[in-house]
Amino acid sequence: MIDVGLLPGDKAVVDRSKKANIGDIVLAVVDGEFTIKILNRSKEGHARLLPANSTGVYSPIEIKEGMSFEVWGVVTGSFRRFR
Amino acid sequence: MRSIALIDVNNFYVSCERVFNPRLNGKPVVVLSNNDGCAVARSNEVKALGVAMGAPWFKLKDLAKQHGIIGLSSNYALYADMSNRVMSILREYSPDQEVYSIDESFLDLTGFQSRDLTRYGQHIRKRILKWTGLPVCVGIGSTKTLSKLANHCAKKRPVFNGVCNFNTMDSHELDLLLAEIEVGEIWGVGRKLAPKLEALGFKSVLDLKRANPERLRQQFSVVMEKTVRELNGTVCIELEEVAPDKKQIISSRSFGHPIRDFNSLAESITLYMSKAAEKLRKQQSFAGSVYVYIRTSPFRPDDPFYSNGMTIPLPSPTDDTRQLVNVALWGLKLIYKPNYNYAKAGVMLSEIVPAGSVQADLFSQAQASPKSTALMSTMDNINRKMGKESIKLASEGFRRLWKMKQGNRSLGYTTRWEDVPMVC
Repeated sequence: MIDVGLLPGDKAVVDRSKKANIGDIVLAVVDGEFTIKILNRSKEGHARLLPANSTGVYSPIEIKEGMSFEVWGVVTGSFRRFR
Repeated sequence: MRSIALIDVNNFYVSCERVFNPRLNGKPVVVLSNNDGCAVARSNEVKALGVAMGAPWFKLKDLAKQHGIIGLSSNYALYADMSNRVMSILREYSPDQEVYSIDESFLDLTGFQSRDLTRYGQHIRKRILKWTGLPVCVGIGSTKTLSKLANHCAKKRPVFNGVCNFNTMDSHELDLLLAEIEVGEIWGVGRKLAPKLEALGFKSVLDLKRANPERLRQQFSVVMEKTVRELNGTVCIELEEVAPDKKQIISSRSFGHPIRDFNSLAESITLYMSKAAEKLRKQQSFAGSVYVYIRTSPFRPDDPFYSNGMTIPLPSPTDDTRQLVNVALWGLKLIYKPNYNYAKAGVMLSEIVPAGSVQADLFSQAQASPKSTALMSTMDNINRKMGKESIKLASEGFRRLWKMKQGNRSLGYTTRWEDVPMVC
């Protein structure tokens, strides 16, 4: 998620009480694994999770039938320590 | 008519673990007691396998292997923190709250009767699930006893969708429901009294509701009379908004390995007493007597069994860790016998009185002197600020070879920065 300013080791602030909208950065659970992505929707109306990393090492995750998927919370901020 | 709600978290410990480890969803999971002894929380999948509450883990090993049951050590720091979150959310739904246990709370909703309380209950349920990730059920009734039963129905009967409101049922409908619930499910009846009631012909909740309260008072106790009256909608047990001070403080643990030598036992007793004394000071009380006990394991038939305990009355009540430890160790010396494999030790403080009401005795050596009070409060403050056991009595020991077994404990996800969940 480096393109939105989230670097490895950063602490992400996650607010569970917020309703996630398309375009929000979310902490999601896909098939039992945590991931931080941008919430998006496919043309067919399925949820889709987009990485924000122009190096292309991460690909979008399409949520298909049979996958377990949950938005755990909305990432509302982050902070970083320098030492 | 009053409207009292009981809200409790389903399979609380297991549900807490699942919030931060979603891979546990849908899998059979048990949380084990201290020392990984027995099952203290079970997921629905484990309940379906017929595993009883309190089943010893070593007896479950075969079943666990066969069905892939995951056994987790208990992580009380996590459960306490999640409990506080749930309770503070609930506080917004009523000014009158009684936190009944780590995962249960009563709310008096009488003042909100202009609303549809079943919908109010659904709102509570949705919010707690959304904000904390924990599933809860809500039971509403006109007394605490009835709200407990309503909660039981909300949990066991899917038709209620997690919220069961007795107050919206007509009396015929409610009685039909109560006729289907066994008498042992009633709050305060439990496994011990249920067989006695059944023998007298009170098999269902409805049977007991229709009983004569005065006769039951003679046959059982005033508590049973209250239960019958509460089942009929008369409030006999009020909400306790402030938890009453503990009349006894117990601190005990099983050891990770059996221990034989006096010094290790003395270390453990010192630690337990330090913890008990800290609790005592937190509720601003003094203890008038100390009980200390040790025992070997009753589950090892090959080992000789020994169990002994001793109550030591204090010359005058105190809250000073050093005095309490001295007394406990003096007692330990008297009950200790060499050459046994000790499995458990503990202390209990009783005859607890409020700090203000202590009468000094004529011969005591400056009990509760200002110096001692200052030392103890300084010690508690340092430990609160700098972390547990930052300073302690040296006799608590530093190596703790006897410490508990906690083979599979999850992290302090919400209470330690190092343990915050990582996402790659």
